[in-house]
Amino acid sequence: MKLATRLALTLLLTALPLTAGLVFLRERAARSAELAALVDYARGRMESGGRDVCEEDPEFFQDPPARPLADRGFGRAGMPRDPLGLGPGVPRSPRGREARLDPHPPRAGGPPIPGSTRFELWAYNPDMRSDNPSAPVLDAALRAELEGGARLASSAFVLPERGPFARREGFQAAVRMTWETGPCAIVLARRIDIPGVGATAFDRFGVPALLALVLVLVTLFAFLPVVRRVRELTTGVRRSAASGYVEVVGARGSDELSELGRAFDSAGAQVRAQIEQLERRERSLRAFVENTTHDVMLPLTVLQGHLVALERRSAASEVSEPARVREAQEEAHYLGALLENLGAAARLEADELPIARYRMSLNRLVERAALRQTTIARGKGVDLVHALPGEEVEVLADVTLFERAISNLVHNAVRYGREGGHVAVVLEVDGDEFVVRVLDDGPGVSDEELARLHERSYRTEAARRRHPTGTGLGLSIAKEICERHGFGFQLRRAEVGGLEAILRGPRARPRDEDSSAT
Amino acid sequence: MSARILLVEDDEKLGRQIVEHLTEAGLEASWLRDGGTALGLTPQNYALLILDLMLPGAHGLDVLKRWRSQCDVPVLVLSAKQDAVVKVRALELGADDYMTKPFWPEELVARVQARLRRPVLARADRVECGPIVLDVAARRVFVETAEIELTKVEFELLHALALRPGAAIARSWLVQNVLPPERDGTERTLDVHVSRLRKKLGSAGARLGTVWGIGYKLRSEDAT
Repeated sequence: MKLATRLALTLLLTALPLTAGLVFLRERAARSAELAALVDYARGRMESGGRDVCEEDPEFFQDPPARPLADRGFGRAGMPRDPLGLGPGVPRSPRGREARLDPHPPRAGGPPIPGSTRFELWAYNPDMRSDNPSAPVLDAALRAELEGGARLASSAFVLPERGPFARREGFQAAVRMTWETGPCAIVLARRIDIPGVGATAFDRFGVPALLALVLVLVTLFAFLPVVRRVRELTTGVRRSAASGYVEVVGARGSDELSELGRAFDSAGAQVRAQIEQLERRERSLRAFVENTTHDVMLPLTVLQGHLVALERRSAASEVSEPARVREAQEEAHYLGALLENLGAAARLEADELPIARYRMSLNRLVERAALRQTTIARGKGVDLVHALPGEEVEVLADVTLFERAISNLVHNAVRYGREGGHVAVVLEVDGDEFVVRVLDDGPGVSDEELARLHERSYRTEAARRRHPTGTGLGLSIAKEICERHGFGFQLRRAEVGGLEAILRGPRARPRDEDSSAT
Repeated sequence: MSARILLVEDDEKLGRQIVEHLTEAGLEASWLRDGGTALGLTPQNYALLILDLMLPGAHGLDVLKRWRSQCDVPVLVLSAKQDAVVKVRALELGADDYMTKPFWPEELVARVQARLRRPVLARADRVECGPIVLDVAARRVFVETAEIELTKVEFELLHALALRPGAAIARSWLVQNVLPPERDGTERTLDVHVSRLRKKLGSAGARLGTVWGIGYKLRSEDAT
């Protein structure tokens, strides 16, 4: 259901009973005031001479009289303006409707004046019978109340219809007089309403209904702008969502609705940021796949070339060339290392959350990294040796990344070392620290390159212009892996010539927790 | 050296290749192709187990767990994944070592042999290395039954090297742990002690080799 409809319905459902209740209360108050007025009227009229007239001639008593008053001798002075000489005796009801009334009550037999009110008095003996045959019979409700000992009783009544404007409603009160005996012990005072044109319905319901209507209209007028702004907000939100949260809703003002608009904008900004992050990641992933493909194709091509040459020679039963086989092996080995490095670079580039650290044996790791290069080293005639301390050295590190770092250093030393040269991998203990040294007697790197390897941005640059013969990628990845672990990484010219890489970091203490514990 | 080795590997080509290389290295290898069968076998019947993690029938880690509940035969895990968690999990479950694909046959054989050799390290009272025999308690050294006289430093030096035959030992470590601390020993001093020891060992002196960039080692096999 729309807000406006719901509001209108709610208002209506509230206003209707409210109006009805107000009308009811007003009616009740009016009724009791009217009753009091009728009783006062009856008592006043009877006590100031009415009783005498009544008891004198009870068969004919009725006020105003049915026959000319002069004939009946009822109220001689100033008649017929005021038959009892009581002055303005017409009761005033709180409704103030009597202002319109004729101050001269019409005769009982006279034609009724539309929209007017007529008052009548009738007398009864204590047995509730009237000596006047034309007096109305007291209805059962009144009788029952009076018989119960009440001083007065009241009821509403309807007179039988007689022609147009004939339906007459009225209100009557039967009052016990103070004298309590005689034919005029009980007096029935009646107010008869002669229906007028467009009168009573409005009189009775008009004001509360008007009030309720005004209330409904005012509320609707106050609320419609709110509905309009909610609609605007909805349109704004739809537009923003359709634009991928680039457009803002841009709510003005400082109320709750504007706050809602701003809250949406900030939520949209977050969504936008996440989308951008995902897009960045996707771009980087795509770039990674493209670069990887490119980098893998080159050594693969070389490898294929070697394989074809080997196949031709063996088909021709020629002796194959060991150098070619070695080169093929080297390319295959390089391919594996390259893929692992690209994987590591992708992980480092994606700025993955803190490196997961696992407790592991550095002895095994160094041994693995060294043995991994044995085949290539042998093929090149490089003497690859490694040394481990007698004791077990443990470290907290990402197994894959840290092994990659050390493998890169060893692979680099073997690959770019001179033929017939040496490469040594040494794990040592220095107090609470481990030291991994990889040294060779190859040509080493130039001063320029050594300096560049210590620049932070170098890896990205090296990655951009990767080349199978460049030393950049492997070394700089090793460096970054160490940095991310908080380990020391140093490259220097070895005393024996060539390059020496030194990794240094804390040994894992027995109590240190690793990532698999969490 | 002949020891029974079990390989659990589902890839036909790789499995055949590994078995071939192990056999060439003088090792006796059997080969299983699925994890389900591997779960049910008796690991005690083998000297070493090589286990691939991605297997049909049962996951390698489950096989490893089952084996470990039965015995302590060394297990070498083969993994193609660069995922650190899997490796760590394998080590936690009791794998002795792992190898990441791709690897060289030579590398695998070296690792297998290293695993098979390991228990030798435990011997302490009597150390043998080829023809050289050290009686640690009596501090006496024999080369092919003939006793040779060594100084205290020379004995410590030989002992340190013989404890880990074939392994390169760093000069710096030997300086710190073998040379007497009261005499400010340097690597030069160490080299002098080594060359004297080599002379005293006579024909066996060739086993005491220099390792480039590191230090020294005592070869257990005859030099080829």
